[in-house]
Parts: sequence; structure tokens; C-alpha cells
Amino acid sequence: MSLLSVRNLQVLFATENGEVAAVDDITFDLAEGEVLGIVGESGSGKSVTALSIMGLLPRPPARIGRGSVMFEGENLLTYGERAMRRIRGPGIGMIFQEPMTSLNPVFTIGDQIMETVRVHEGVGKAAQRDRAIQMLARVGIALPERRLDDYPHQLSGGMRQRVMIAMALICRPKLLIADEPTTALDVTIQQQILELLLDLRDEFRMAIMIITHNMGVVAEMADRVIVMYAGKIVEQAPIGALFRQPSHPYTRGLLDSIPSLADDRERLKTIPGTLPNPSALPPGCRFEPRCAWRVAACIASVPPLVAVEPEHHSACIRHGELAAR
Amino acid sequence: MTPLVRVEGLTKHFWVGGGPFGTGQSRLRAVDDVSFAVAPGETLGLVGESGCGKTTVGRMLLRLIEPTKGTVEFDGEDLLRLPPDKMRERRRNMQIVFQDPYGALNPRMTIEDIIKEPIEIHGTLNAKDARRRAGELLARVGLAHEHGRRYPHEFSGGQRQRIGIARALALNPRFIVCDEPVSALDVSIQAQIINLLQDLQDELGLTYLFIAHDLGVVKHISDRVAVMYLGKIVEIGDKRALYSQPLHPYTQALIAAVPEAKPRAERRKAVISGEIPSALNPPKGCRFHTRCPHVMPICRETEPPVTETAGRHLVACHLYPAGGVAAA
Repeated sequence: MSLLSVRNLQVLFATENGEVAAVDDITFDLAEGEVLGIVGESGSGKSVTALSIMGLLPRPPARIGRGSVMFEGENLLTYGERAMRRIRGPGIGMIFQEPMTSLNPVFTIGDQIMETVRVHEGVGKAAQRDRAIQMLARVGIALPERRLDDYPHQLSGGMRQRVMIAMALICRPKLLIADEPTTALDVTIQQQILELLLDLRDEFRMAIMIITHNMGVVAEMADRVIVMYAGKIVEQAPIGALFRQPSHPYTRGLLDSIPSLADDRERLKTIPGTLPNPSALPPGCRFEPRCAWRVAACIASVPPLVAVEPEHHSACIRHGELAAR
Repeated sequence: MTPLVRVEGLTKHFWVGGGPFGTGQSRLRAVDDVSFAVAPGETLGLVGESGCGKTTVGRMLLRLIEPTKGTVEFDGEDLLRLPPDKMRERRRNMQIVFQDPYGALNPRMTIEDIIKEPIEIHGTLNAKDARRRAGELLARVGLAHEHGRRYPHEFSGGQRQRIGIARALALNPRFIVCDEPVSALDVSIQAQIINLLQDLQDELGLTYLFIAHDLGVVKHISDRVAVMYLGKIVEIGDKRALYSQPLHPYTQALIAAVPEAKPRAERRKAVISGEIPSALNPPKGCRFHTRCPHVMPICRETEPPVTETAGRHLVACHLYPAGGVAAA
């Protein structure tokens, strides 16, 4: 059985132009211990997906249109705030792109980590402190007993991200959702944090859902990848297959537009145009207006995800021809 | 070829902290003794992690930040000796494109007015010609004429960056400092803007200083690349040489740390540990010695001199003693 199983999830946002679907009818699974990458550009719905799993959507303006989020067999979408609070921590932990906005500036690092232990495990002060020190040491913070009394602003960006990871992992969650965890960090620090996350995955046997726009980060981390575009999953594949045989024009476009260290091209390939306006989405395939492979049938109806090979799905009606190229 | 831009010993120290009347302030060495030259029509990439001083260098070239020491020559003329009115005139030739196109565009002005503003300030064209020029510039950066009547908030990030580029081109500059122009953009849009900058360079013969932290982007667009660490240039050279055979251990680490869009069988190990030290109190000797895997006793004491290796490839590292380069 999957650890997490999202079915036909639709998340709606109220806007001046009426309700728009930021996430529209997405379905995916995540197994225990698996690292799932969710890739997409801004407006693709990848962060909204994470927030709906965590029960952290701002409501209003957001509301769940339909679908279910099954975590260990329970539908989290039926949970109230109190029940969700018991899931966050020991069930699902989350880290964000900008740790400064998720750490409380007026409390010390120690207060914030110990609070998490107190709420979820009800152990005494001394035990809370010990746990916090152990965890900070584990995420690579030197002199953790001294750092406990620091405030978030006294730490560098990389250190704050380590503290966030310590907070998210101290209750040993079964699933860690990491939303752009290294985007605000320098590359040498990014590499350290990615390595730490994979080590902790092995050690705690947790699953990781990593949300990123960076194809390099996905290649490094993920076992399986979901590519999102304008609220839809357009492709889903094991990591090797996605890079070996990208089967959606958008995935191909993304891979082609990255200036990599390895290539010597004079010119980058681009995807023309921009993301569609969410309140005026194309009637059929949402990528159709920007797609070099579009045909009349692409406008007629929304293409479903179909199997290219087992475990590898694409929402392009021409995936067969794409593969032949 | 005579360089268009030549920088010698460029240094900027900021005084930070302290009490009233400047007591107890400390010196932040943002940029320390930086030298380089950019040939006409060339793109020099400037890479480094946050806080290395790359943005300060870019702004000092245009005197948006006044250097503490050093010279900045543009077309053979020392800009730092110019009085303000002359400097303003010279800025026609030197423009800047910023990372955050939204922050750099006045939200109350129409796009046409934003693009016309530099023309009006410098009084180079009459009102009618200025309007026509704004229309041409919009078309040149891939926007429609009617976009000129709209306001910045109506545009996406990529379109705003196009507007920022159009404004930078308004006075027909010869040199543009591009300060992280694509870092805030999605990858598919990033590629469009990079191609646009390259097209403009080819057509208009522009010279760029391209500042960025993304090594892939810098490699793609640059002819030569300079690597900065804690206020110093540690290595500078032709991009092919620098990327295929980086000499400085920091450059090597930086390149190795980039996650490649290619899945691999075994997990990589971080090349360097630790974080960038504070520029308030940079390490003695070589500033990279606290994180360097090849650190030697001399590195903790003496600042490494700049050594030239084959093909104008310069490196500041004790592994490469002056007069000859050890096999790396």
C-alpha cells in the first residue's frame, strides 16, 4: 500500500475573475521510503499540491473542489485543524524555500525545536533539550548546545535551513515534504543540504516529496518524477526514463532550455510564449498554445495521462511520435 | 585589442554597525583589489556565491557605488576622476539591467514612459522621435507596440525583464552590466531572455559584464569568466579553459557542486564543507583556506599572488607558484 495516495485532487482559488483551479484533477502515489520529485515552473500548482496535503491552504481564498488525500489509509481532507496538527510532525514534516519566514524571529532556535517535541511527545524539559541538541548535531550544526540560544537572524541561510530540517525531522515523520529547499542557497551549500536529506532518508527510512524547478536537483535526489504544468500533471516517470525518454513536449522543452555545463550550444532552445492565464485556460491541452507538436485534436479535449511504458505516463496524444524522434 | 573597460585594484570597504558618530564601526571588505578588462564586443561573466562582492563590482563600474580605491577606465578615460555632470554624460554609454525587473520599474509609469525616461533625461531626442524610438525598442525586445500604454504590473516576469532591457538600450549604450538578469525567471523564460541578450549583442556590438551565480548560464553566455570569492577574483580565464580545467580549488568545487540534469547511479559527495566566512573578518592569507581541501601552511599566512598560466588564464592560489604552473 502507498504511504500517500492523492486521487483526483482539485484545488480552487477565489479570484476577481471567479474561481480558478490552481490544481486540477491530479492523481499520484508515494511509497514508503521513496523520493518523489515534483517539477514545474511558477504557477504549475506544485506548491499548492504540497500545501493541500499538509492542510495549510489559506481558506479562503482556497478550497478543495474534489478528490482525496489518503495518508496511511486516512483521508486527510476530512480532518479538522486539531486532527491535522497530530499528523504534522510525526506523520508529515515540511520544509520551505525561505526558512526565515517559517522560523519565528522572537523565539530562540532551542525554544522552537523543543516546543515541537513537547507538543508531540509530552516529555520533560531536560529530555526536550537533549533531543533538540542531538537533532541539531545530526543535521550538521556545530556546537549545538550553544546554538540553542541563538535567534534565527543570527544564523546564515544554510544554517537556518538545517534548523528547519531538524525541526521537521525531530518527530521522525514518515513523509518529508521539501518545497524548493535549496533554491535560496548557494550551490556549495545546496549540495551539502541535498546530501544531508538523502542521508536522513536512509537513516529514518522516510519518504521525501521534493518540489523544485531545478532539473539538476531532481536528477540528484528523486527516484520518480512528476512534471506539472498549469495545474495538471503532464508526465510521470521513473527518474531514468524521464531523462532518457521525455515523453511530453513540455518536459522536452524544459530539459532543452537549461544551459548545462556539459553542452557547447551556441543558442538555447526555448519554449515560446508564457504560462496561460489561470482564469482563461486553453480548452484542451493547456500546453497547446506553446507547443511545437500541436495538432487540431489537442484543442478538442483535455488529453488524459496514458502509459508510455509501465510506470511512465504522459498526457500528450502524440507521445508515440515524440518517442520515435 | 584595447579593452573597452579596464578595472585596476578596485576596492570597496563599507563601514557597518557601531554607535552614533561612527564609534565602534567595523570594516566590511566587500571588494578587495579587483582587476580585469573587457574587450569591445566581449562578454565577461562574473560568478560567485552570495556576498562575494560581484554585484558591488558591477555597480562601481557605473559609479552607482563609489569605490574606496582603484581605477575604472572606460574607453581609455578614468571615470573615477570625472565630475558628476561629466559622469552622467558617460552613463549614456554604460547601462545596467537588474535582477528584479519589477523593483526596477516605476509602477506608476506606463511602459512607454519608462523606456523614454532616459532619453528625456539626456535630451537626445524630441518628444515625437522619443515616442517612435520607444516603439522601436519595444519591438526589438519582442513586445508589441500597444504594450507601451500599459503598466508594469500587467506583465509577467519575463516581459518585465524585456522592458528593463529596452530601457537599458534607449540611449544606444556600448556597455551593459547585466546583474543576475535571469535569476528570478523560470527556466523556459530564462532561455528566451538569454537568447535575446545574445541577439542584441550580435546586432548592436554590445559589450557585457554578465553577473550571475548560475554557472551553466554564465558558461553559456560568456567569452571569459571571472570567479569571485569573498571580495577577491580567484580565477579568470577563457570559458572553455576555465570550465574544462579549473585551476583554483574554489572554482573546482563550485563547478562540481552544480547538480547536473542527468541522473546518475551513485550518490555524489559534497566537495567542500563549511560556509563562506564573514567579509567583516576575512581569513588571513588566502581567503578560501578555511574550506580548501588542498590547504598548505603558507595559505594561512600569505595572500597568494596572481599567476598567469597559458592563454591569459589567471589564478590566485599557492598551488601555482609564480613562473610556472604545477600540473593540476
